[in-house]
Amino acid sequence: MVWRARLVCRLSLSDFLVVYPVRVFLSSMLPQALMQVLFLVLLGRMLHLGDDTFLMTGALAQVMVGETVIAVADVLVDDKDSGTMPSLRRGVMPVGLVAALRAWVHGAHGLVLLVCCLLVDSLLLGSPGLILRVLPLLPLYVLMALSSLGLGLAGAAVATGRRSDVLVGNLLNTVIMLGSGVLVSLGHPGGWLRALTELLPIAHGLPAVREFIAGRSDFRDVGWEFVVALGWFGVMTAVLRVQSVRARRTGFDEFA
Amino acid sequence: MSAAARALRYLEVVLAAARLQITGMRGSPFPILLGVVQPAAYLVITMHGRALTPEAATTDMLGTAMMTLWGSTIWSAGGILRRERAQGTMPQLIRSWCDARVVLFGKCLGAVAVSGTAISVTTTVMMLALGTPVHVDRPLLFVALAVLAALSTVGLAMLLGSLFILTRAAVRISEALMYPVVLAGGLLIPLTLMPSWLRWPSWFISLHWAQVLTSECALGRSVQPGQVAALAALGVLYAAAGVAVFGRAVDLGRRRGTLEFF
Repeated sequence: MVWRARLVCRLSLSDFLVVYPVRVFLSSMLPQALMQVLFLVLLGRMLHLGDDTFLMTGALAQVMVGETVIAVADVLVDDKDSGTMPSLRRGVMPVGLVAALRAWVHGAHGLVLLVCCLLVDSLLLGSPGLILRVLPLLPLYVLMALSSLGLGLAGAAVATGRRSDVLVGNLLNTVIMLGSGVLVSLGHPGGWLRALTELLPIAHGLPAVREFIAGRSDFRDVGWEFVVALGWFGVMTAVLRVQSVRARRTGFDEFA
Repeated sequence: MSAAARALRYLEVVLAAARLQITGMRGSPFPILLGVVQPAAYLVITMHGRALTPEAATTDMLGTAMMTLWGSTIWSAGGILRRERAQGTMPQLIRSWCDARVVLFGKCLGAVAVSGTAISVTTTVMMLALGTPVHVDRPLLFVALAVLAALSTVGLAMLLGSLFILTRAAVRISEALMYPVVLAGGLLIPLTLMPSWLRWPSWFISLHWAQVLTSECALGRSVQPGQVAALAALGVLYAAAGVAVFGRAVDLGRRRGTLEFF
């Protein structure tokens, strides 16, 4: 099983590098991410939404989410386009596990973008001190990458069959931007809207990052972020499982 | 055929191309994302929890509208010719009795009409929903300037669409261009927050002038004829550049035999 898992991970990296070679990363993806962080921080400054630490930590998470929620749909879309899902279902490894393992490369890519943005944009914005304050908290961003990958894959599992992966991925990305406290937090504490946003990835990890930077330990939020990650991976696995069972019983395959 | 009859036929082609583009955009997620979701999201962020004066709210609202119009243009209209090529209709377009550039203009017009309408409706609904007062002085002049801004954006769309068939990296270029233009154009974030040496590129961005003009008009300030001329001239310049680039792309495609290659 470990050998197979490693093979899946290696192949997903190869696949990713074919579609997005280093020159594409350097000429397009990285500049876009750098400018997006710059834009979000400047927007936050203009609107007086918080200090640079608050804005930068949120903007970095948002850049990562672009990869872990929108781009991660490719993991399942490629199978629909290539007609390989039936073969995948006949394989030894569960489809959900294959999807989760393949998604690692998108998480890693999001984190690479995040680190690059932290290093460059902190200097551009005249806050070099942020680099040393945020870098030690990278493991928390790894956890947020996992939870957002879970949501991204769950969304893709539902949407790919209807060819609405672009719409759903971008909608989820917007929901996270508005609901997870990237720049603003919707709803009032204790209200139904705030309660719903608690289910979103990053909604707990980001406050934890901000608390740790402020010198206060916040392991409760870290724990909740972990639970959210598990929950969304569970949803993704369940959706793929239901689709497999339905395809076998009725012959209606959303990935055909 | 008389000049008037020819002009009428070209007008029919423009309208038919615009209609076709509007119909084609129905199945695409981009009008929803860029015309509805994005303006709504940014309006929520800019208006959230702030006690804004009508003047400030109007400026932020128009900035959001111009920013999302740019996003719509680059993602929807910018891909018009690429889609013609992908669907294999590019050679027929070029062999047609009517100049392909007329069709391109019509399609860009259709795309900008959809985006502009979606953004306008979303912005109006959101401002009502958020209960933020907006100040629009001289509404007729405001509408005229908004229409001029949309027409200027058609020229921009023609340029982008033509540029994007010269390269296979069009999607990547779209991604890379999105935020620099938003920042350099001062569309949502005022240029006063930028270093002074970074403000001059805004002169060459039509949406910057559109944002300045519509804001000044809405707030009852004097509208400078020079700024109106800049907006119109940039639209014409973009369109002329688009026509030239399109001719070059077709010429290259014919010589290399790659007109149908995607």
